[in-house]
Amino acid sequence: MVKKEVNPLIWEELERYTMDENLREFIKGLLLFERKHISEERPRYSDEYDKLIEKHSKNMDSE
Amino acid sequence: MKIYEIELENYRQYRGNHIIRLSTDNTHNLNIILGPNGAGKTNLLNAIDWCLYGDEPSLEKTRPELQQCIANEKELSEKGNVIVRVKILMGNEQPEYSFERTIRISKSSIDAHPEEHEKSWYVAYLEGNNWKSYNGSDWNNMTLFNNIVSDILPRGIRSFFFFDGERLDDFFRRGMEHEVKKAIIKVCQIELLDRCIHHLTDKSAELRKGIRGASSEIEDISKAIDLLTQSKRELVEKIENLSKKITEAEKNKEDIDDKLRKFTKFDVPELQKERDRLEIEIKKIDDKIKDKENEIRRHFASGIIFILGFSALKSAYEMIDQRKKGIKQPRIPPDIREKFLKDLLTCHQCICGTELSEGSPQRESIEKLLNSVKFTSKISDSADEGYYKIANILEKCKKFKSERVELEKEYQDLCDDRKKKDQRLKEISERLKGMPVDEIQSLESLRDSFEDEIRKCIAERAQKELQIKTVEEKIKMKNAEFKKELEKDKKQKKLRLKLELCDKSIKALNGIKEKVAKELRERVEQKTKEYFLNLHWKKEVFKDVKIDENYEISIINNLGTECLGTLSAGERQILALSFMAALSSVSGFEAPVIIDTPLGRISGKPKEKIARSLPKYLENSQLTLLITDQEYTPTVRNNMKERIGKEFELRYDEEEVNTEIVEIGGDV
Repeated sequence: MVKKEVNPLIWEELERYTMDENLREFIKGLLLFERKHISEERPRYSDEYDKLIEKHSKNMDSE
Repeated sequence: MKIYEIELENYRQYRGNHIIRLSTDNTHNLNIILGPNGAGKTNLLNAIDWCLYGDEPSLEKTRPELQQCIANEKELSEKGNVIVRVKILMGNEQPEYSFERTIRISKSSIDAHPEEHEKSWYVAYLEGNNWKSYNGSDWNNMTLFNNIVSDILPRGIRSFFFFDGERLDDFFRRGMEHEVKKAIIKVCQIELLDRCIHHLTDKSAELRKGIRGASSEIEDISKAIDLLTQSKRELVEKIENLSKKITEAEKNKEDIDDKLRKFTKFDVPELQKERDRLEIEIKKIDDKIKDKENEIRRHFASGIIFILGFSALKSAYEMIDQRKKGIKQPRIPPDIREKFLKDLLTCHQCICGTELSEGSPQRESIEKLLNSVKFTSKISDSADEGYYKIANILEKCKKFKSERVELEKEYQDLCDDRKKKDQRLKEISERLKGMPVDEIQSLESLRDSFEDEIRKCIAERAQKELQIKTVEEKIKMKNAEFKKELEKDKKQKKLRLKLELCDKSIKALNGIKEKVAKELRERVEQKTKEYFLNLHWKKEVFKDVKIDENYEISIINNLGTECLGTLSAGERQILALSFMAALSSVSGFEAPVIIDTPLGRISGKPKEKIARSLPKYLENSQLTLLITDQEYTPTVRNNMKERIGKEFELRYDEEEVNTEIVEIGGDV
């Protein structure tokens, strides 16, 4: 299947930006979802976002 | 990503079955498809759009009246029933994706709604060594097909990869910065960051709303945040609509200017030329006025303390001055007095040269003075010290006033200059309205109404932008209040962590967006400049290309003057081609580029230069040019030959209503 490319510049800036790794991974998850659904005007994002928020907020708790 | 093959069946003038196999060789990735007007160049572009996206964006703007039916008209009239099919094979180093769209059109149902025709779709992709295929008959339900297309080249940005070269110059007409911004944001994927921010904001609101058993304070704050967020969204939408209106009105105004320039009667072209010049000058004056306003503001902020405290400081100065006049003996400033006297005693000599030997009356007199100095009250010292400081400040006050007068004068001069130019514009407009030609009169009146609309929209947009800032401030305050209240409630820890995650992410995404947007804008600017200055034939005329923070593009000539508004249609096309090539190189998409009529508005020598350079700028993309024989001169061909992989010719048979695709060349 096609590699869903996020512009490398965005990726590089995300890697450079000062933040904890949990937050970085969370944002990567969001970006990959949005890239996959870029052609949809109103993608059904809610479930995927809920899943990511649930997972990464738990990681915040353990920090 | 390259197009390996396009197969057409009864699609418009392509009667029967036609296959075009493009060159996919990395070093010879330029394909030439040569054909006269009407042979089917634009329809080849339409066929690609139709197969991949289900529409034909280049159609309505070309010849809508001639292109009602997608099926080949002769085939349809002879057979009464036609299958129209377009298949595209794409891939990187080998064919990896196959897309196909089919529709059956019968004579009896030709006027029926597209939904009523028999349709199908097919998509296949290579997984390992095996092809996986899917198909269906409902074009409204082909998610997999659409997702794969979207991964290669999303619908929203295809117009930056498949485009008509002749329409490109619209991009850089006055007031089109909105389009430039949209292009950079979409093609460079800044949109992804925007979407994350938007969806996270919605999620935060949802989380807040879903809170159970919270205090009434928390609920009230949450409601307030929702209302404010909604009002911010409405404002953003209004601003976008106003920007669109401005762009549209600017474009209409520019079209009228083009028409007026073409009048040879009376002095219309001269007046239009003068107006073009005045408008460029006014824009510069407006920038200067804005700078001057900022300078005045900064100057005022730095001097406000002097203005507010002037009378108090002046009274204090006079009071201390009177006191000082009451003291007969001159005094040394307080902060240096004690040290100074001690130094004299240590050196055993006064500054007048008198010896200050131990026990001498002169030394005793200094020692007495030193003792009295030690007893001087702190208040007195402060007053003495303040006296000099106040004197200094009062001096600055005087300077501040004169500087302010000077700045105000400069500002007023700029305003007067603008007023004069405005007046001259009005006179030009009145003269044009008074011309004894109906068409000129009505064009000018229409132009007036567009100008009026632009003015009103700009003012309204500025007002809405201010409102957004206020709303954002309020949201920030309310969010802080909400967080504080939530921290008090231990039961809400889980929710607090989720909201914190959203907040931190939104903040980080905004920061990343700001940096990426700046970086991408600068890269597009730098590449556009490099390509434009290199492609342009008047090397000595242009010096720089700039895209500012508002995405406004400007071309600077060698005199340092902005001259975008005075570019010819051909020059604008070169600028647009440079911009598109720059966008493609920083986009993050490796899609093929197809340009219809790439050199249509460009004459002689420049055409040859572009032919040499454009394929080089797009060397990492498969480039296909749909070109007429007027564009494809022997020199143009010669200049491109190193990059040409394949050449095709479209041969249209009017009687048969059929275009044959013939591979030519061979000696390239």
